Amino acid sequence: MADFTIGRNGGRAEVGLGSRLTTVDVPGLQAGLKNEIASGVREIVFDFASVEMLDSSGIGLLVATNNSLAAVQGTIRLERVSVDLMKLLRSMRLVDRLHATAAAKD
Amino acid sequence: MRVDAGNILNRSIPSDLAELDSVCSDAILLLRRCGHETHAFAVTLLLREFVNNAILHGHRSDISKRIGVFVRVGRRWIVVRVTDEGPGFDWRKAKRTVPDADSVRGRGLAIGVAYSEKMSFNRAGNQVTLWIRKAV
Repeated sequence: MADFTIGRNGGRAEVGLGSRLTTVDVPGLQAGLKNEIASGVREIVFDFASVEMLDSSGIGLLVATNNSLAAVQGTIRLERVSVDLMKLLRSMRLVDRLHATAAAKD
Repeated sequence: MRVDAGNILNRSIPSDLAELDSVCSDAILLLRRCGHETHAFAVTLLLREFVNNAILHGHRSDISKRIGVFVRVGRRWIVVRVTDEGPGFDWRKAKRTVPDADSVRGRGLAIGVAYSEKMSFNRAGNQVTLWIRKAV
């Protein structure tokens, strides 16, 4: 079962994610994101507050989404990213490209 | 099949993505039991990457095949090994570097490099072994 939600506010979509964004989660979310972009969304914000695991397939989805939005002058943002996932994105040199920001410290 | 000792997790699992959560949970329990839960993210990330590769590339999603998953918490190293029944791949020619930022594929081996001290393959290329240096 899909573990995500997509909320729409004009040209902006907000994606709430579950505990992971990995190979098994990608196909369903990918279809939803394509629909949003096709219907005019130009900014997609991913809420990573609950995400504990991200693999190369999940990263591929984020990059593909960024590429699709960049082609229509749109943008992507990853918010409230955990320390482990920020480190992973940094090692893949994607923090700036995906506009990722860390979760606030307690 | 489960073959575990105090510091070892040894599984033979069906070639099915649905098995990943279970084997990752068992790996976390092993690390917790050995006092090295700080390595849980690295170990489960590597398991996901290389079990995924085994299922999707090694076995082409053939659920009748099996994957060997081995994790050992040693004195200085945590060893992660994934073995599949496929023909393997030519790891000698495979890129291990981080791909361009707009590339949607090709990060699996780069993650292996980033999260292990050493990554090696058997001759056929259907078994990968990764060594993670334990935190002191």
